[in-house]
Amino acid sequence: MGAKFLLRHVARLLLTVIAAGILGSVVVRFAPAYGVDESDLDPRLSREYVRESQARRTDPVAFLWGLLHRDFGVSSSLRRPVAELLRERLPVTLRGMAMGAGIGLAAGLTLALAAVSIRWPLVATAPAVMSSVFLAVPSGALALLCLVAGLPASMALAALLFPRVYAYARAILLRAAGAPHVLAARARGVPGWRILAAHVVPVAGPQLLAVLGMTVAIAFPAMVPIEAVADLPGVGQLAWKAALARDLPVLVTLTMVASVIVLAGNAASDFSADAARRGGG
Amino acid sequence: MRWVAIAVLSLLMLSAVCASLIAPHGYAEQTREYPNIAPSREFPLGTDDLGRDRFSRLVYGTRVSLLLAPTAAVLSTFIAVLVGGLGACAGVWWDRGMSSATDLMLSIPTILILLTARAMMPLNISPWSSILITCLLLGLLGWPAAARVIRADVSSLLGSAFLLQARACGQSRLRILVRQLLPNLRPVLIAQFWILVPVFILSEANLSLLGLGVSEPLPSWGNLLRELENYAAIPERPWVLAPLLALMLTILCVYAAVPQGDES
Amino acid sequence: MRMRWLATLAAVVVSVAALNAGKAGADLPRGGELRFAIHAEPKTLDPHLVEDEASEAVQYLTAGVLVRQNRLTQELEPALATSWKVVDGGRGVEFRLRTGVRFSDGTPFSAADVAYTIRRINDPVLHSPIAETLRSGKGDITAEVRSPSVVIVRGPQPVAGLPGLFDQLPIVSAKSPKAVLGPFEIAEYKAGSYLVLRRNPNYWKRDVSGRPLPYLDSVRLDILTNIDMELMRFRRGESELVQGLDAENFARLSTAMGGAARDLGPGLDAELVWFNQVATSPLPAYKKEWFRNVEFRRAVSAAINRSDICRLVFRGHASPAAGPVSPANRMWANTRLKAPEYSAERALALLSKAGFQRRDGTLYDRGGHAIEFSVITNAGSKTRERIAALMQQDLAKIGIRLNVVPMDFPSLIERITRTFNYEACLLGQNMDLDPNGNMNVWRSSAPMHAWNPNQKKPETQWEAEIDRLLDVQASTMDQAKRKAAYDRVQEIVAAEQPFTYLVYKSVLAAISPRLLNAKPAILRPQTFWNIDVLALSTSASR
Repeated sequence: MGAKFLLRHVARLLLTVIAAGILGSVVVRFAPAYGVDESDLDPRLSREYVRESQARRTDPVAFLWGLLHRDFGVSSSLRRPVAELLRERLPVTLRGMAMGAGIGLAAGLTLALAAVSIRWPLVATAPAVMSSVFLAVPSGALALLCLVAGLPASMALAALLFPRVYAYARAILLRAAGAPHVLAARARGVPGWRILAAHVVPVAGPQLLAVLGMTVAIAFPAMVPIEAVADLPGVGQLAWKAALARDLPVLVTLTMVASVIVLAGNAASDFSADAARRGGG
Repeated sequence: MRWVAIAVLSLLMLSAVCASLIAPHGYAEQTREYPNIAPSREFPLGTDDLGRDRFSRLVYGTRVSLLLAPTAAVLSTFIAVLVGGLGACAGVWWDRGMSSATDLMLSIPTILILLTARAMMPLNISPWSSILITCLLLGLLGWPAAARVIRADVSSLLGSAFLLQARACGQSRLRILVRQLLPNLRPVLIAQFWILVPVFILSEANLSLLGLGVSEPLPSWGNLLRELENYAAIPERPWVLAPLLALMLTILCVYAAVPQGDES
Repeated sequence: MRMRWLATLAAVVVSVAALNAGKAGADLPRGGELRFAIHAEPKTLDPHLVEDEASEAVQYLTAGVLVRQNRLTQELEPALATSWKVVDGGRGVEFRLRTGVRFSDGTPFSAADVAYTIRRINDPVLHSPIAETLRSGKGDITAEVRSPSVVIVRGPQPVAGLPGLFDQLPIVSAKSPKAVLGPFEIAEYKAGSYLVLRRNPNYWKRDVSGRPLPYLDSVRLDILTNIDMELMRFRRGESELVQGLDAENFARLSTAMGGAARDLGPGLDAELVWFNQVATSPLPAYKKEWFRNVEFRRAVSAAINRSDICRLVFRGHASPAAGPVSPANRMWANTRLKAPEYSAERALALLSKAGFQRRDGTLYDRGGHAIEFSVITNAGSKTRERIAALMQQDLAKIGIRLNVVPMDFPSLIERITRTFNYEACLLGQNMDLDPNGNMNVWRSSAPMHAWNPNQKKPETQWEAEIDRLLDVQASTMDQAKRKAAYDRVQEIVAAEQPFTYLVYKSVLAAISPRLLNAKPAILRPQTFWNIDVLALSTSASR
């Protein structure tokens, strides 16, 4: 059972990553201005020179052929091997994501739990006000404010994720707290924290884990503006520059990396949801 | 509290509709002799670099943003329900297909899709058509993250006792979806809508970097909020925070105005 | 003969200048690290493949060249070559090389290295853009080694102002690929973050007291794309230079740090707008007719209030533009040209002469089409968005409706160079000092002839005349004739308005008081062009 489950997930992961790679390359290749760069406007260079250098850098067939041989190619905008760029930059982004998403998730879930279990107006209002502030400030400005305040820029990610986690988690928990057996327990005078631990969280568990999967999925693209503004040398910044430069090797590789991260987030939440369901059942 | 919020929202809507009556100046009117001045009776929130009245631009911006963002949010919530909900309801293969589509949408660089959309649009397009297209694009691209949560929610609801009972009573799938599932999804959908409205208001400003969205001289809250990125100027001119306050007020009021499900 | 005399004079001037620098240099402190930001990741560290600004900065700091253009006086000065003369009727230059010079790894420099450099840039596999600049036509550049200290470099065709082009050609070692001849060498490179350059221990230049240059121990280039971050570091004393400031940040910095912010006066960069005049473009015929009508272009030019652009967008740090060459280019600017006066009345009179009519506040052409067009510009540039907004209102006054369409840079480039699917474009232009460097812009057959590129033969008489004048200036070595021809080109451009020049931007920079000997210039690299004599004060704390 375990092996089959694992095999199925791995097969699906592989298929989705390949599909993401193909789709990514189609999107990049047929995006407007593919193969165009600023050297077109350099008055010192002849057209033949510009065309030849652009053709050298942006041959999609050569790139896909290389990909089949596990060669990620050379970035057409930064002119360095993509594998090398990823090796340097992926850890920066993953660290930022882990910290930002961790804090955002922890704060969102804690306050959602507090809002459901403690029915004081302040406990419900304070996170709503906080969420409104975080939702209203552009993420770039949030990242800048973090830097001014001497905080790491990934705190902007926490601020960005917090309202989403809080809103979904609170909605899910509130519904679970309205179930008949919870109401019955409450009527019997069971303490709030016990109701939460024994009746609400286990019921809402699978959905809360989906929120975790969603967090991972939105954290990755959210790092793009944050890294771009804070000048963090991560893959988010790389993705932004690569998109503007129509850098096919970088974009296709990043699409595949993003699909792995998204799928890993999903698999983790599916797996734990499955376990929770079986455990609960 | 709820009624206060509804009143404030109505007031905002009303000011958006009657912008031309409330705003003391046109949104594009440049008083070039008075650039960057502090608030005064004539210019209640001062003027911008080109001598345009900030207050009038904020009022007109309300019209654009309060039309655009909620429409796009409804559209993308609808798609999220369709993809996530049907995925969970309509069998294993459909579910896998929808899940993969969601994963792919989350992975591919959407910025390039937006650029392609811009390339396909004519150059001389009326501001309102441009807003409509932006609305559609935001709606069509903003659903995947929410679809995941909705799918998980629906699949857990499908295993619940009341649905088993409904099925046992021989209710049709459609009836189960409309009468049993949707009402139970309401809190999550409201949360989704509440988050997407500000997200889309801000995204619209980023889209203008790609030549989509609202362009000069039409104001929107999004492009007014872009001024905040120049944070160092804020202490000198704190009134530039007005669009931020307006947006925060709107988000709070939407939160307070819509029933969250805790009264039930 | 004349050229040799000039070169000797230049050498004398430089020696005197060096003497003066040396006087100041005797008490200048040594050591320390100069820190500033480059605004993008260098695309290459190979000095012969440089196209972008960031790589150019690294190249300037590390590479040795035969001759160096003084960025302040705009004159050529000896560097690795002590003297030079033009030979073969302008086709080649004979360089006499400095003796006793060593590369950073200690190996000696000789004419063989110059010959190797020339062979290297000729290599089609390397595909060097510098070779493109040096060679004027088809064929290779050759180097003839006369002796270890004399070398003649020849191109396929005569080029006026050829010696000046060698300011762009870094000389590399025939033996060791990493060895450099410039003041610094690369010590550390953390991709995406920073580059550290350390002093080249064998750098050839010395100050008058005989102390080896540069004074600085190292230079740290932080890769920062966000100007707010850069300013924050400057204000905290974590960097000593800021290049390319915009007017808004300049004003803020002037308030906060007084003398640190410097306006160096009008630079070479202009902001301009032009109409698409490509006959095969996918625009409706009646719009093509407007854009090809000179009165229409003149009217638009007259209707734009350039003073307001200078005052509101650039806060006074710009001046109205008259033509393609900024007065900052002392040798080539046509000083007789005056920026057009803003006059809506004159614009309307010109339009009415061309058959346009204004009814109910809207301008119509003869066929009854309301005049409405779009201007594309690069998104993210607040400056250009503001210029466009001002133009929008100015043109509305004469009944023209202007739609502003910002778009990402590659999309814009594709439209103006390949698909020609645009109506008007608002952009900046960075002109080379010498007319030869701008041939790709002015020739009707050239790709950068933006309003109507790649013409098989000139489509208008005035473009044919520009082509002829360009040939005249390129084929003569007589400076006065060259100047007269290029002056006429500028006059034709001002009259025909294929490009409507709006403003020349001032060069704005910030220089920390800790940095000694800074003499910022309008030519790139504006603040650190004299890097070998820059020094850091030790008295102020970091």
